Amino acid sequence: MERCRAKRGFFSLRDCGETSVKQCALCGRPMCSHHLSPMSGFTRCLDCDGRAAEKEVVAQKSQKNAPKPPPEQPLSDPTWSHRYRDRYYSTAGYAPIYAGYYYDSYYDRYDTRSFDSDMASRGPSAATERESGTGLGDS
Amino acid sequence: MTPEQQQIAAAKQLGVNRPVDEVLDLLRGLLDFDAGMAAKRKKAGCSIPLAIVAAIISFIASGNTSGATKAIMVIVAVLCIAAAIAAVVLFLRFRAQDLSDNLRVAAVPFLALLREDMNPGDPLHADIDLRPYDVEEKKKKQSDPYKKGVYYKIIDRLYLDPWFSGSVALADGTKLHWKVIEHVLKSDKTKKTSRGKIKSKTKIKRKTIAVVTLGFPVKEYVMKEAGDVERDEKRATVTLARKVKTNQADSPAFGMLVDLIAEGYKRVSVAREA
Repeated sequence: MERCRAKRGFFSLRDCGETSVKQCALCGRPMCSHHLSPMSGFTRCLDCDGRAAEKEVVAQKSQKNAPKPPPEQPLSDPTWSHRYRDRYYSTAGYAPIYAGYYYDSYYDRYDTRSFDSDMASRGPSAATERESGTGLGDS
Repeated sequence: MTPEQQQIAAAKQLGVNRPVDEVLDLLRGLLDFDAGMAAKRKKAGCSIPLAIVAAIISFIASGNTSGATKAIMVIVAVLCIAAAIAAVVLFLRFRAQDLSDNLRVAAVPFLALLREDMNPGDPLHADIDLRPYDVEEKKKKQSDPYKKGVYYKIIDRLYLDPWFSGSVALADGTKLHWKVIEHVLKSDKTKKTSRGKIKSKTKIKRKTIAVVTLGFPVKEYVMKEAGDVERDEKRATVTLARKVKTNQADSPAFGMLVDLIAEGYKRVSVAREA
């Protein structure tokens, strides 16, 4: 059974790693039940739904006389933290520390630190073979 | 609301140390309660002038009519006055139950974001003062009325509001403590216009101080810079603070806390060895 490919976290990212139940209809990544968006009928992942919602808000804001977007609902909108993460990383220029092992090009837009392509392709064992032994190194 | 939520809403003090999802469930109920109270307060507030206008119209109409119609108009006017009084009482009662907007604009988004960096089921300790900043207990100073420019009466009130603090252990082993203190200067200004009308307005100046302490586990992280770091065998601890002045009604605490923690993380790099 495949593992969920979503990344958890905000200040530091880590692999979700739960058992996947479905593939996201948009990005095709395997996702666990926690990372599928209830608003899409559990067909899309929270990342894709969040990015789509954020795009809509940005497009609305750029229009003249556009209606004010509804206030954000951190507790009732499960995509909120994913939307905020995307927005914060792009606007504040924050590069989160990645503490996981599995590379996913879906997150290429995040300028993560500590990601090691060697480790991504060969798994955690790659870390032991590193010469310096000082960790993953900044990207 | 659950009995616990009712108790918190009545006391307007939240002090919890329990799994983050339970804390957020607790806050969800409080937010719904606050939104419901705000809607009721708005209705009651709008009813007051409507009832007064209706009472005035009824009184005027009663003066221009006679017999049974006059009696009916007087009764309607009295009922409208009673409705206005009831609306004022309800408005004041709903206002007394109002929770601080800081909960909605800062505490809830911050805790919802922290949940992403926590392991499910890990405890979160948070103390939130849900009273608005301008309650009597938080007033530290009040000036005597003074004149300035066109304003013939200005009264300044200074409030000290240490409303939000807490601590948590994040999923990466980092220990986080935070504290938010707000100093709010509220000025009630009154002036007389050239037409003789008396106009009043209230202005606020808000100084928000956020302090964040991050204890990074030395097994996982290396501090990039040595300055201002406390070290022991297990942790490298850094304390960061920021002060923001604004005249906005909403607290900027959420953005400040997120920026401070991000700044802390920018100071470290990974030291993990497999």
